[in-house]
Amino acid sequence: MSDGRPLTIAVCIKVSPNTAQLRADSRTGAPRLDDVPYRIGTFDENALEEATRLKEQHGGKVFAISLTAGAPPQELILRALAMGADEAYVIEDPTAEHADSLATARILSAGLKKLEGWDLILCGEGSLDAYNRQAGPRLAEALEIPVLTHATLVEARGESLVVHRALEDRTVIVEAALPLLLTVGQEINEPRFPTVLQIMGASRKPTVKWALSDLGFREGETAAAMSGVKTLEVYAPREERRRVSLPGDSVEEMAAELARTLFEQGLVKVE
Amino acid sequence: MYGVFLVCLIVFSIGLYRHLRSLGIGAAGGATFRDHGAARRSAREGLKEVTRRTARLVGFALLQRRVLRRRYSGWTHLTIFWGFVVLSLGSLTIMVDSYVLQPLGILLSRDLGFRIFQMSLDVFGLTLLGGVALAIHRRVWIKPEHTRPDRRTLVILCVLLGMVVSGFVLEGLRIRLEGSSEPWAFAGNTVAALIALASPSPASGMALYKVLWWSHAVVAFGLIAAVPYSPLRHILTSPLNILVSSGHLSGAMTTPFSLVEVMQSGRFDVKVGADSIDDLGWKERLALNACADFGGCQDVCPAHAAGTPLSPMQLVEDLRRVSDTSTGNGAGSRDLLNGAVSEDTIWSCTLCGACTQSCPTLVDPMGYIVQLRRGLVGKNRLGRERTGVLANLSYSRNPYGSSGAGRERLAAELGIPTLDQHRDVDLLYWVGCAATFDPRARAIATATVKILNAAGLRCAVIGRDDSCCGDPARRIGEEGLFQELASRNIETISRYGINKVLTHCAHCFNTFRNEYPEFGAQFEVAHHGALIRDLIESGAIDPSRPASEPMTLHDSCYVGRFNGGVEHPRAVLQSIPQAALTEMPRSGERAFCCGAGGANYWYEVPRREKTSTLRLREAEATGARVLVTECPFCLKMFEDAIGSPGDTPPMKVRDIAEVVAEALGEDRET
Repeated sequence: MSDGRPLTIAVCIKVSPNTAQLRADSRTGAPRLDDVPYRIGTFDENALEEATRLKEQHGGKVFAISLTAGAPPQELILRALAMGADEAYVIEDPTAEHADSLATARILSAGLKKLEGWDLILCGEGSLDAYNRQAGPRLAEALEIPVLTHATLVEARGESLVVHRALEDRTVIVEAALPLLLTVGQEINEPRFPTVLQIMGASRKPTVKWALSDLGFREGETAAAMSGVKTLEVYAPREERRRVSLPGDSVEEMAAELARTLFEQGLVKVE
Repeated sequence: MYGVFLVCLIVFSIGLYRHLRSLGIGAAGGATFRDHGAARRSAREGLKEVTRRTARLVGFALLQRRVLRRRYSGWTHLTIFWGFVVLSLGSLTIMVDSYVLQPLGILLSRDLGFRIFQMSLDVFGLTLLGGVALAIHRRVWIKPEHTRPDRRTLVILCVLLGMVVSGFVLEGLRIRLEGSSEPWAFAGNTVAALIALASPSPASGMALYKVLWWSHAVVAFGLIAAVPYSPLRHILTSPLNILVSSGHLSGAMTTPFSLVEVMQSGRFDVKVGADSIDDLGWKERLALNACADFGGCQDVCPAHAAGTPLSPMQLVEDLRRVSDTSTGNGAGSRDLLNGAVSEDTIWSCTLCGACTQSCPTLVDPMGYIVQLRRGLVGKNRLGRERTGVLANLSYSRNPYGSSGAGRERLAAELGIPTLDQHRDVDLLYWVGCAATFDPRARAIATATVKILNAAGLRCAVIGRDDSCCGDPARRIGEEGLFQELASRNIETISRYGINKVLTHCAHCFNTFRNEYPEFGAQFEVAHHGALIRDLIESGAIDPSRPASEPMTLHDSCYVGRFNGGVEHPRAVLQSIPQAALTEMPRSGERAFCCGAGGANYWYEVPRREKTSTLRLREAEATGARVLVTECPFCLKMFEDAIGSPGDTPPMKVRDIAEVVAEALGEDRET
């Protein structure tokens, strides 16, 4: 077994529209954000799970930190606490949904500098909605600590971590000194499912709310203002179905008709 | 004599005390479960309850109704039971007569009553002899699968055999030595006559009598002392359990807490389910001891038949072992979830209730599964697939994880309004997740709507606010999520002032009917089979197109076994002209589960064969060409089991609504 010491771990979580529930407007193709439920990013859940696992193994403490626009659904912050975080820090900025990875990293780093005392930062590989996969590495840059992406196995070893990184065609095993930032994907673990009672019970754990001014940002320095990249439009490609029905009395007949139609329309070609 | 008796009594008492200790009575911890649903009973209801329980004791203990379901071993057990009871009472009477009454100078008359007494002792002695002989024959030569090669039981049977034989020899010797003739004690008389043939000297006869008498008495007392330590303990525990257990198979699972109460009190650290033996209440632990290894539960268990790690009998035995070894000095582990019972065992159960329905001593193996599942969920030990189902229910309010778009399109696709569009309806059609998100199950809803239209019934669906009834959440063991979904649905349905709900899903039906009332539901729910039967009977619809192929009906556990709905689907099918309905060997309230229950539809467990395949074979053996179902999940299980068509045309699987809709002939929709 590894000889890790108790670690203080900060986990960055993003609360985003549940993309599985997202519908595109039938006319414009734009996502209908008015009634979509929110959830914690799936990779962020992996990050939380890994932090909790390390805590259960070696002791220590887990913070969850999140940048949100206005009040996030309280249930989701409680869910993070129920999954194993001991404290939650919520940075509220009404313009947060326009934040690009740079602004997100700047704001989170200010929060983490204020928090102090952490040994390890865990981030999901990418957010559920934008999936730019930049916030983690940029955050490490802002905090001037090493970063390892695609971590698939983590072992604590004294003042360092041994990390397995599964890359396209190989696995690389590295050792890195703490403090350190890791990004993780779904390969690393299976996040636990907190029960409704556990989520409710998590309301006993402390949640601290910060405005940007609490983190030393001046007026006008909002997430939107700090973002270099502005999203102009998001729309789903339009799907059109031809709704062709092929009549026939037997399976053979219908199959032959299907094959003929596919060839005719050039959807299947013989090279 | 008295000394031997006293020693045996002490040994017996120690054993009994240990058992009481193992039930958690007087120990710290103890029962943590209560049934929130159980309302306080009035005196009148109390009296009714006493009558019910007494009737149960007579039926299940004295008449051994469920034991007799198994022919050979049933009758064997009944004869041993009654032989044992009568001979024990007889011996007790003789003891009291010889050691209490006679020394006090009270002499019982030797009249007709005594002769009948003598004769019945002989009759029941022979009964016991026959039963024991058959039981030994069964264990040594037949060795059925459900019978454990338990040495202790065989030893007890041999001891009983010795007791009966020695009893008859003693009686014969006594008659011979007293030189009397007791024609009423016909067996004893016969033995006496046989002894006379050997013409032993009075002295050797007397010596033999004394030796036999003493060994007979010592072994009898030994048997009493052995009761708490051997399978014989069920003599005490089984009748007791029959008396105290809730006794009936309920479609409603127990409610370990009320979410509303928890929220009001702010006490969220409710212990839910069982991960330690201490989490089981005394009744649940008594029931573990009441199990007599009959094995009826295992015979009917679909998970066992499919070759999963689950056997309800083994489960009860494993739990009993923890209960037995976790008390007293050098106590073993009290933990249930790290070795005592495997996770695969717990998840293999389809919660079909067949085990609980079959148990002759009213043990509820399914109840333990529910407690263990809740224990696992509380420890967040769910595994990937079940985590996925619960996450889907939590985030999307349906187990498929599909977006709400499907729910919004549903009304238009079925050609009926939503309640928002049209509130003045005869009933709310609760379509359920399967028919909303699964194209095959959707056909059930289409057929049902066709029938409703033909009958001129106005119905509507909820639409976007539709959500899962909560059955999979509750049956996986996430009670909080179930109660959230239930409260939400009840709120939605009452908001529209609906008092009649129709569903074609056996799970929605059972949950609405048996579980929602506790959370404030006041609407009536009908399963579509029952409604269709009413529509046919009232003449609202007339399925006049003849059936072309022979059919067999698969009863859903949550319609048949749990809710007794076995006549209406048959009435519906038989109303179709030229309908040929053949029954499977296991049908009605004793049907065999399709394998989907207990949320098993949503995950895989290690097994030898699919439960649905076993059932499909049973259906095929009837010669029927159409397997009629009454639940979308049963239907999907069977269609999946059919696989790719081979040379012979595969069996068709049709929902009862599809069969009726087809028999209605041409579309009569306007």
